[in-house]
Amino acid sequence: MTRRNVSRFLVAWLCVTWGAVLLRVDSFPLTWAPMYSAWEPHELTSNRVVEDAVYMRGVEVTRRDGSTGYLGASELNIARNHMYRIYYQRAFGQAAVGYEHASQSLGAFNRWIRGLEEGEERHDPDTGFRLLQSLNKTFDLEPDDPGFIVRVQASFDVLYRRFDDLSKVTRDHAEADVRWDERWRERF
Amino acid sequence: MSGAWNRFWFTGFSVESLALLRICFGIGLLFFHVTQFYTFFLLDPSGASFYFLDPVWYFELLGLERQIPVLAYAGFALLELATLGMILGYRTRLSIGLQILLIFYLQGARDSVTGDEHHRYLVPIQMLFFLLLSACGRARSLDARRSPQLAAAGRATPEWQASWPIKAMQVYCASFYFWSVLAKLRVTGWVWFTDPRRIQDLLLSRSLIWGATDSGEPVFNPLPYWLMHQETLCRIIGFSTFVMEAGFPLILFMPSPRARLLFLLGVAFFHVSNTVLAYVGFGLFPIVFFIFFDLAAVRRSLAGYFRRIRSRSS
Repeated sequence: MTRRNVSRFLVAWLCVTWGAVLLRVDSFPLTWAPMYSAWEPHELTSNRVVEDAVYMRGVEVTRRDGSTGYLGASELNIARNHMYRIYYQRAFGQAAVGYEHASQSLGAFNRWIRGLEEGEERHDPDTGFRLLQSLNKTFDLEPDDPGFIVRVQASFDVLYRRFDDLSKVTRDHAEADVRWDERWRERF
Repeated sequence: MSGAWNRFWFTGFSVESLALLRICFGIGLLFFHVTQFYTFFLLDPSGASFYFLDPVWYFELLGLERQIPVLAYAGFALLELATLGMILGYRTRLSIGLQILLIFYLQGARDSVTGDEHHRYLVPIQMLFFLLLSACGRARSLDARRSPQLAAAGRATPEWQASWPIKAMQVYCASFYFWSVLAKLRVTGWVWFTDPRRIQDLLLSRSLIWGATDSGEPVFNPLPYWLMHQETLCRIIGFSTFVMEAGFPLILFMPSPRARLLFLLGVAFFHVSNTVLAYVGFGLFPIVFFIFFDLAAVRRSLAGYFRRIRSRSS
């Protein structure tokens, strides 16, 4: 390449990388680097009580034939951090943080290119459907199979603290209950 | 304008600098890959092939739907071999190209399981891309040893050709940090840096990631939990994050290598602290900081230093 062509290439490369920043693209290998950027000031902070043995044992599942059981890291053959996210986040409808980053505090231009109205900033990735699809397809289960998973449950304790008195802790309980919707068959 | 552009992009480095960067960065990558993909080795090769819950965009495009442990094992082994190939300069371009493809695959397989995309390979992948385009295999490589023409081409490589890939890597790395500050300002605003509760929130949630006692204290690593109670320190951490991220591009214009080293040691401390306190997996990220030094000059001054020591002792 000649020096002139290298300059042209560099200008194009800068346009692509900075263009991704303007458009809030966060898809490898481009990013607008939103790690830990989303936060809203609040007085009350909540934290889940993580229980290693509980989330590794997995989510409680109910099958179409009425039988129940657990699906954990070893059955799904996934790493601990993924099981953590399935149990504590996806089962509770919390999608990957990238969705929140991509949709929170959008400027007018970014709302326009995403086809969102003023105030409409959330993109729902349909986490419940995806979770049931993933669990069933991992074991090649079809919607009419007796072993098809139709319900997923998880629960954990939540600790609340106020920032003005961090020593005072109150405890609550959160439960997730994701059920199969027969209208999802076509998409499955 | 054109003069400033040319001075910035096309001066400062030799093919020797590029080759040493290839070697040093490659050695760092050997370990970095392990920290990023070790979880694949915890999988049962004959176990279930997990159906991705939220595949990354290129897996969706290619129709890759499952995590296949055996492929991940093979991919990782090949990745380390390709990295070794890059370090030794054996079929250098092929080794670098293979690394890029394998990182795409392994990162996709890792991040598609639950859809959380990680950002740790963004700078390394850009660096590999520019090494791929560069003449880094023309010196200090098995390729150059085997081919006298390539070695001669290496010796004849002009400064501008060796400089622009390293400058592009520097610009990307500096932009990466700067984008982080822009993202925080765009999404949350100044309050991210000025309100100590932001840091307290992060430290508290991360301190409880391994579980909590009945009184709500962490069962492991009390340090982040202790720090969370120090409001002034949290305020300082928030502010220094802003200074570091917003000020990072200044490194592109720091002429003194010592000043750059000092600044980067501070950034490395930031990453290691994040790993210890908040389990953010950027602990080995500082391997990319080699780009901010002319390694040929570093090698010359180290060689001179050892020569002086030898001559003094003899």
